[in-house]
Amino acid sequence: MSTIRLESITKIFPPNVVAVDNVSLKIEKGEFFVLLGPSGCGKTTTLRIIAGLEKPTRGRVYIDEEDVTDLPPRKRDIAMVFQTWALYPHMKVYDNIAFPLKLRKLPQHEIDRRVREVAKMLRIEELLDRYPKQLSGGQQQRVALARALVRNPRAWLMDEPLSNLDALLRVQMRAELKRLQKELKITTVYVTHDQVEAMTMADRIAVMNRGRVLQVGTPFEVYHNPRTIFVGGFIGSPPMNFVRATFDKVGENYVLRFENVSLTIPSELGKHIENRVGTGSEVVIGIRPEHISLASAEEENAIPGEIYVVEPLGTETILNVKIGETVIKMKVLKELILPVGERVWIKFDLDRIHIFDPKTEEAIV
Amino acid sequence: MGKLGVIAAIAFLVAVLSYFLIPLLWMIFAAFDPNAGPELKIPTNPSLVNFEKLAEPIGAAVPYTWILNSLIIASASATLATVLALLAAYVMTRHSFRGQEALTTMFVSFRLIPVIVIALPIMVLYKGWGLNNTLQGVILAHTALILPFAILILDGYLRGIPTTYEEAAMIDGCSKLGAFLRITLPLALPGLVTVWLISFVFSWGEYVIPRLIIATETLTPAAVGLDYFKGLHGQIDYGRIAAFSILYTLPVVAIFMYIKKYLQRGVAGLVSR
Ligand SMILES: Nc1ncnc2c1ncn2[C@@H]1O[C@H](COP(=O)(O)OP(=O)(O)O)[C@@H](O)[C@H]1O
Ligand SMILES: [Mg+2]
Repeated sequence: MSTIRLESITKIFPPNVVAVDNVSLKIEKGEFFVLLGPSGCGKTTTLRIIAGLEKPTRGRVYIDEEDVTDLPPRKRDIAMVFQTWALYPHMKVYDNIAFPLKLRKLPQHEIDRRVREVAKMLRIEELLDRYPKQLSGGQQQRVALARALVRNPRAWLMDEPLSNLDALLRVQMRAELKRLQKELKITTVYVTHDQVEAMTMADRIAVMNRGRVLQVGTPFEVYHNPRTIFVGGFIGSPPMNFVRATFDKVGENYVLRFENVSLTIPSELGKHIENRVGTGSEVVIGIRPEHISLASAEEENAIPGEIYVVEPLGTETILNVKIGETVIKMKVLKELILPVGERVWIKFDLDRIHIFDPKTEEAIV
Repeated sequence: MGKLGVIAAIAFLVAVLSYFLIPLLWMIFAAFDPNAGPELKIPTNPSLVNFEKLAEPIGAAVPYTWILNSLIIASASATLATVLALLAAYVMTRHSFRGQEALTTMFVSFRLIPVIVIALPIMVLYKGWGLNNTLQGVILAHTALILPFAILILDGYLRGIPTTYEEAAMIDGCSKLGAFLRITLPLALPGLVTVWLISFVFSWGEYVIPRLIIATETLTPAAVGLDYFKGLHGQIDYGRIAAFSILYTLPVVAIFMYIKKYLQRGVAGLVSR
């Protein structure tokens, strides 16, 4: 169990691709830490810098508070599972798993004992005599995990290890990986672009975009308190709805106006926005599909709309409701499959709305 | 296709095949015929006497020596070229430096110059270096001639092996060079073998360099040695030429059969997924 700390890491690939932009992170002992972000945001590069496969242009890397920035990968005592698993094609499964131990010159019987132990744990004992190309994707994945596990490394680095598996296996392995990590208490840095994977597996998530870390927090925190429009839109399925609105004060009431709608918001929230940006300013409302419900016309703050698209998911249904020119996604019970074109009234849960500044894209409240 | 069509097609194939095979057939028949002549005929009392006669000297050397010289030159050139090409290809594929592409282009264009054009300057230079009339001289020249192609083939081969394996090995505990030697090298083995064999075949058949550099009959390789059979004693011993030709051809045929088998076994396929 070890800590990993990144201090102002920047990586610039020639000529001037800024892959990682001034990233600082502290990963705690035994933590399952997920780097989450869209493709090309610098997750892999960050992981490779921790591994020592890339040198940062600026910044330092610490493992257990020891500066390892200038150490080659082999001196960092970390293990890595690659996206393509990178099993050595010319070695049998047994030799693949034994490889890190052979390099450490362990006695033969000790190597054998540990290979068999880890193979048993991952249920690949009967595959030890095969070559990697004779294995299915899921089996190769287990072998890659076994190779990373066999030498009790200080940390586990994983780069989208599940992305090459089919959907069903992915869900299965997700749970199994999490259990394994908790059981062995190995500090883990896990890279993924799949927010569901991040939410379900992580102790903490760092959401990245364009080389920067936008927010670090528990899945609960990044889900419920997104600090930017990007984080709100990236996490959750379907993603948060965003609506541009004007913030104003009418008499004693604070209102948000968009399309032909005028929402009266709780005065505490209104005061807060007023203090931050002032009345008459443009804001962006963020609201999650699960925080919108169907309402009746006479209810306060009910918004008229028209059913645009219906997406039944089995356990629930996603309604796309058109309000003027704006389309809003909302989650309703699975039984509620309404005909397209039907006129409906909907209601935002105003205690759950997020307000962002359209210029900085950062949360105001 | 009608019956007539099939017959016509077969007849055509036989005609084409004969065109290519008759010289070969003559060689085989004549080699085992003690009374071989310039005409194509099946030996009436086949024997190995022609091969035995290859142990008798022609001028100052025994023909078998020429085969031996060829074996030495070809295997040494092939080995040297393969090792040097591997080192070059390693640097070219696993490190990046300025002028990388220009270097590759240069290698290829060098090889487009006909051997005969380079042979003369080599001979002149060798005079100063004392390499004329030595096997080392031929080996060195052949290595240089083979190298561009060998580098090109290995460069392509190494590029085809993802660096991820080496990276995984470095994380597992190897140094950069160690990862290359332990992981990439075994994966590149089919490529190395192919390059070695192709180099061997080139050197084995190359005529111009030894023709210009070697003056002593005992140091002559087989390609040049063939020349000496013609009319040395006023007449041509067809049987002996044929026997020698067979010995000269065998290694090349064996190598091509081996390469074919090697590639068919699909060792290269291990890497692709
Ligand atoms: N070796 C490299 N040379 C140049 N650019 C690179 C290199 N590796 C990554 N990049 C660039 O850096 C950015 C981040 O890449 P990466 O870390 O692989 O993103 P992610 O893993 O989040 O998809 C991308 O724009 C990518 O094109
Ligand atoms: Mg990546």
